[in-house]
Amino acid sequence: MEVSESADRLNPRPGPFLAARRTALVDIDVQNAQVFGLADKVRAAGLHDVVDGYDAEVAKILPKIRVLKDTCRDLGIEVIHLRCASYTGDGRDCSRLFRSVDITASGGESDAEIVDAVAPRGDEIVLSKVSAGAFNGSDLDLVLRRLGIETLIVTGLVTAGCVEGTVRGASDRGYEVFVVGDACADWTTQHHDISLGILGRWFATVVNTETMLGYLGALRRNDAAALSNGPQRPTIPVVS
Amino acid sequence: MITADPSTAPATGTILRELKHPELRSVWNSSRSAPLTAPSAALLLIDMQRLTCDPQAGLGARLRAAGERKLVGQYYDEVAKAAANATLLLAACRDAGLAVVHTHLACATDDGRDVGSLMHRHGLWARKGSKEAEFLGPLQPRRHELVLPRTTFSVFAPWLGDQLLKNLGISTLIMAGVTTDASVASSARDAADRGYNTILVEDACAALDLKDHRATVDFLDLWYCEVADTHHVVTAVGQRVEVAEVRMTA
Repeated sequence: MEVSESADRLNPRPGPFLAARRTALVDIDVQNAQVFGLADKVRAAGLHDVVDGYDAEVAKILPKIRVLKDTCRDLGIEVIHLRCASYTGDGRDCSRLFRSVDITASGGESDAEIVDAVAPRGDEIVLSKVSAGAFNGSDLDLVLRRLGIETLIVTGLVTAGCVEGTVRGASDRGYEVFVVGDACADWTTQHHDISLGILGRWFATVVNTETMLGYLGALRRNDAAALSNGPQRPTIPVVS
Repeated sequence: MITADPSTAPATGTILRELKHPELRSVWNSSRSAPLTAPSAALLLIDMQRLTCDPQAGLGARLRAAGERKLVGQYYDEVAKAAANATLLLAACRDAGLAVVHTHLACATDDGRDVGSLMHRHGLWARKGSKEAEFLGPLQPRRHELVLPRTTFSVFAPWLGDQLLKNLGISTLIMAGVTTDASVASSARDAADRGYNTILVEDACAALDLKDHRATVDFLDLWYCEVADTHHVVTAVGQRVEVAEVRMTA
């Protein structure tokens, strides 16, 4: 297969793929349990270095997620908040993976609440999921299709876990995905970096907050040229 | 072990592994019993087809055209090892009477218009019945074995994958194939979310980049599945060896 010959076929949908009515920001698991609870557990086990690193990363991403959410709200882009939360009092409806690591808070518990700094506004959608990948344990796909969403802007916790699982599921279901790398965090920067590398190669367009805000600004100005020339979709081979 | 003394805490690179072993792992293990025996265990071979495994076709031709000669060499060396190990796995699983599921990237149309735009962009598609959709010589499906064509990374993204495995009564998967960081990892993650017990056979998988292969296997091992090598799985398969114990066999 010649690359030049196949270029057109490999790009069946050229042009901008960011449109306000068809885009949603999906913020993953920025809830009390992930932001505060897990860290306390690890701290109790004596692993202070790791927890401090994680706490510092989370502190850095919260203001970025806040700005991205507010910018999306201004543009009329749907903001959707995912969280790990069970539908029963004891978490018996959670995936076995979640039960095995005690991620079983029910919807009404404080652990399942989105943290104040990036809390939902008005009638924004909050979806509880019972698995790492949102497409396996929530009705995210159904909700996105009803809203007519084709493109996702993804932020949240933790990068190599629920974020990566959800992005993989989204790309298989035909959504275009932007992962805002510096608005995601993981326990270790190593896991974070490896995850973004793999996501960027196969599944998503990995950007930082500044770049994403630039695209959203172009959307506001209705700058079609900036939108069609800016975002680079993932393609192989791209080897770091 | 998780230590109580911060001064003896492990390096950050091992933290997640330490978190799962042994405390969380003991919780995990107590919640299931998953021996590698028929009828509940199956071998799932992912994309061992010309498109992704033949250096002269598909991915290899494309990478070579893009000037990635070094990468092509590395990848196909790993693929050759993975295919040899997959052949051993296949023989052992057939001998033990396990179900065998072959999945490959195969679409319905000549121009791939039934493939998602992302897979299309990657060139990761082949028409059903084409040369690129063919399985490698030693890994040909037998007539009664399940062949599942896909146009997605994950075996579980299409509703059909999950349903067919459920229809077969499968709850434990021995997983191998290519590429480790793409289709194999997506499938292993989805399998865990859906409650399957999975053993990832590390040396029967390959990725474009060896570094990504190792990182993916390590991360999956922490949360999503058990990891073992071909030798251990071949020894354990058909015996009443639990998924979590495979690494301790032989």
